[in-house]
Parts: sequence; structure tokens; C-alpha cells
Amino acid sequence: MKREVRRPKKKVCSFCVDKTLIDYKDANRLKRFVTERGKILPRRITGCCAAHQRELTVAIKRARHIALLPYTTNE
Amino acid sequence: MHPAYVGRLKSKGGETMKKYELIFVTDASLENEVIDEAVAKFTDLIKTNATIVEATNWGKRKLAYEVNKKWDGFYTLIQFEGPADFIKELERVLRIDERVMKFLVIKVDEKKIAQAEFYAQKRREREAARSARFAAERAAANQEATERAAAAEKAAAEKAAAAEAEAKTETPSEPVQETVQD
Repeated sequence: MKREVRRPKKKVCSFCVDKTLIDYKDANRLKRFVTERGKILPRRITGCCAAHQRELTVAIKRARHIALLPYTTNE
Repeated sequence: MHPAYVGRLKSKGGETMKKYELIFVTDASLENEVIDEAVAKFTDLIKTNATIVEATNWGKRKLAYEVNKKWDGFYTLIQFEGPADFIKELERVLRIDERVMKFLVIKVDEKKIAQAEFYAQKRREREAARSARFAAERAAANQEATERAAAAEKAAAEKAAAAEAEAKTETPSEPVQETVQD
């Protein structure tokens, strides 16, 4: 029997496409890149390239520091 | 300016002024005057030691998590250009002030902002060109339609005129034929 190979669709980094700035002040935009509990989504989910994922991580951490994003939620 | 050149054309030597961004959260449960006073204090402090590029009050906002048993904060964002030594002093003063719940000073990445601005400008241009092209196409289509309608009208008018003329020529032709028959 032939095993079916599941190949995920190749994602393109949305920041590479838009060429916009990853801003820690824009909490609404960053919200898309964290889970409901506030954890940062991995690269395989966000589809970001390595450079932008690094930038994104810094932006999310900065946003957390000034209480624009939660570190964690208990719901 | 192309983003690749940002930061490269800076003069060498002397005290460099870098662009920084301060964002701080004042306790929103305090009275408005107290908040304004705290904001004014830091604005003045920056003014005397650096040059303010832009200062904006975001106003009262809900915090993402509880800070000092409070859920609301008054956000203030100040962008300024100043010497590196000043940052340490600014952070020290911010830490001492009890009205300030949270603060963050970061160095602004001018190159990245320039890059984003450059591409945003390009995108705007592209979109403007596209909408202009669409408008031109639509105008051309409209003109063509009006022309076609006019042509159709003209053709109809001509046809009617021809029919009328035919009718006119036919009626007098009958008596002529009669005379021939006679």
C-alpha cells in the first residue's frame, strides 16, 4: 500500500511581501502572531522567514514589557 | 533617499546624536493634573537634554496585565534625538518616579523605518498608477459606448430618413406610371 505524503503548502513570509515595519507599538497586528494564551507562535505556523521571525519576537517581547500584550492569560 | 544609504552618510567624529523612542505608562488612577504633571516633567527633561522629534499621548488604555494591582495606564510616546549618556540619566529618573508604572527606551532603527517608508511610497505610487489606469480605461470605455450609441442613433436616423425618402419617391411615382398607361 502506498503511503500518502502530506506536503504542507509553502508559505511566504507576510513581512517580506508587504515590506512593512514590524512595530512593537502596533499590538493589534502582533496579536496575530501569538496564541490565545499569549505565547509566540512558531515559525512553521506564522510562515515568517528567519530574519522577520527574529524581529517579530523582539517586537512581541517589547510590547509585553510595556503591557500592550500579555505575557500569559489564565482563562 | 534609497534605504541602502541611510546611516552611511553620517559625519564622522564628534558627539553623535542618535534617535531614541521613549514610551512610558503613567498610573491612570491618579488625577488628570498629576498625570499631566508627570508627562510634562519628562517632556521638559528630554527637552533640556535632547531635541524632541515627536511627542504623542495615546491617552488612557487598558493594560494587557495587572501592574501594581491596576488595570489602566496612561501611555505617552516621545521620540527624540540625543546623546547616548542622557539615556542612563533618563532611565534613572524614570525608575525613581512613582507615578510611572512602566517605561521603555529604545534606539530607533532609522534604516528599517526608511526602508519601510521607501517601499510604502513605492506601493502608493503603484496603486495610484493602477487606479489612474483603471480610470483611463473606464473613461475610454465610456467614450466608446457613447460613440457607439451616437453612431447607432445616427444610423437609425439615416434609416428613418431613407425610409421616408423612399416613401416620398414611391408616392409620386404612381401617378407618373398612370400617365404612362394613359
